[in-house]
Amino acid sequence: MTTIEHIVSPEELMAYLDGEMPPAPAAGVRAHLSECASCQALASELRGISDDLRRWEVDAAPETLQPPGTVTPHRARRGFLASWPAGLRHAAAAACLVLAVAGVTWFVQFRAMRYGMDMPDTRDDGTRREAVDIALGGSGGFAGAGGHGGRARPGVPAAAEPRAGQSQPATLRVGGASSQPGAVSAQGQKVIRTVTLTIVPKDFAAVRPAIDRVLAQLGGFVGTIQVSGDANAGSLWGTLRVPAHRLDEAVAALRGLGRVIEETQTGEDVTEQVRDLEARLANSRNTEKRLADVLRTRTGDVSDVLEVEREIARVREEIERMDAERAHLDRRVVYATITLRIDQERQATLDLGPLPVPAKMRNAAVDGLRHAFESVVAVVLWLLRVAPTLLLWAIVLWWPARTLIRRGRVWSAARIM
Amino acid sequence: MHTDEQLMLDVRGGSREAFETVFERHRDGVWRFFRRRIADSARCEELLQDVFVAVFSNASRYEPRATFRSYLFGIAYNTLHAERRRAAHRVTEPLPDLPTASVDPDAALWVRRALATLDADARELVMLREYEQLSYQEIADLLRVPLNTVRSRLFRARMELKAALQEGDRVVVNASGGRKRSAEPSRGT
Repeated sequence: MTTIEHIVSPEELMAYLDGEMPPAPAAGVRAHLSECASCQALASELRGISDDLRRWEVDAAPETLQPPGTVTPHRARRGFLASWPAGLRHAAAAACLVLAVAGVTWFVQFRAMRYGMDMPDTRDDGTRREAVDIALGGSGGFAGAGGHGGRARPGVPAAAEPRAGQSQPATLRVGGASSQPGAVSAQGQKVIRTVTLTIVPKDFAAVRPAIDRVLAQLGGFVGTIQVSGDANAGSLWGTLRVPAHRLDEAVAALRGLGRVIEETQTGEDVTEQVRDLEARLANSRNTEKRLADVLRTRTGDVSDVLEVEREIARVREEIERMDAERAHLDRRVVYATITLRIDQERQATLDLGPLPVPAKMRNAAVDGLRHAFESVVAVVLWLLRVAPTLLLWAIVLWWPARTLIRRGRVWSAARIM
Repeated sequence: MHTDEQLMLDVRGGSREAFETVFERHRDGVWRFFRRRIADSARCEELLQDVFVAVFSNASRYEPRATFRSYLFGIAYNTLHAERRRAAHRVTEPLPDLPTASVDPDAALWVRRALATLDADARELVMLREYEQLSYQEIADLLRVPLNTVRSRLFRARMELKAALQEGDRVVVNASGGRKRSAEPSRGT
């Protein structure tokens, strides 16, 4: 019995049957196949498998299928993003949303800071006004410092009111008491006295009552007083008018309110100013008297009479002005001015502010919701503003973009392996 | 008659008629390629259009380095790949339950069920060989596997198919006395 050497592997046989073998080896396989029963059986099986597989026939293409030309490939009809993996699409959408929210929030806060909107609404502590040292307490008689008619706004420095011809005030530093117990010294001097005190109180709550007591005892009065701050950081600013001869007593009493940080005393000698004023007044009155005599005699013509009367009016006006000035100076001399500033030392506490914590939390939550709503509104408004522009450019750029995208997909699909 | 490669060169030259000829020649082949893998016939039409749009659009870059059929089915395979990726399916998915019109519907069902017993890659390999008639090298290029791998895996797949086909086989002796395989729904598959 002849044994046929099995030189053809089953895979080679399959390749031969599929026509995948070069001619030379194929001849050898053919020759072997004609002699090998097992290979013939295998070949039969392989052919049978192929025959069986081909029995699955699929219906032919519809006749309506035409060469593409006007038909838009379905892939081009789908969105560009549809070609992305789902996870990447979701990540891109989330990133866009985060960027949009962050951008709108920043924009809203920027506008608030830009236009001074109140953000946040709540404040943890009260308003602390800066007490302004308005040294050199002012003029303006019984209205107190700050000029005639008193001070309209707190914290506004009272300008000293230098007058023409006035001598410069002499400034005395801490501890210096006035050398003249009264407004008019024994030598007949007239001195306008002012004192500036800055004190850190021992007990801020007791300051105001103490001031009232001192003024009542000494016959003084309040020009201006302003109290601000809270229980932890209060401040008081004001001007006090006390009889000049009792100024030292008043200052000593006020010193007792706490620790004196600064003390300034000034004395403005207006004696010469007053004398000059009195002299001018006397002259003006004499002038008025002579003019009145001239008018009484009326020896001139009408024009002369009128001129005399005008001159009398002018002189009287001048007299009245000087009288007012004289009275003003007298008042300033009689009543000294104390400019007082009391700043409580801030005592840090565990207090979180005037508002209780639940109220703060509620306010913060309300603010948060409001800001969230504002951001939504801002986004909507932004969309309404930019939507027409975006729509316009989307329409303009749609066809070119679509063509480019389609060509890109087609090119990627047509890669030659 | 012009070969496909000659026609494609004409298409590259701008010949619409050549493209239509190419279309007519290979429309059914591409259609059946998709029809055996995609259940929705409407989608098959769209994908077919996409394939030929790609052929036409890239005609300017066509070079007859390989057979046109391999070029064409390469485009079709990539199109199918992209379609399935978008659908979050693997490239080779289980065969669709196609209500196909067939000369022998039972045989079609029998074959499809046998193919379904193969793993996805082996099934695709067998189908490209048996239905698209691609060569081993063309299959290797398309699937990006070595040639020897194609051969060995194809043989193994065919042996598995033999067993699957036999499992649902019912031998019927035809009137001529020959043996004709008929099909019945496989049991247990």
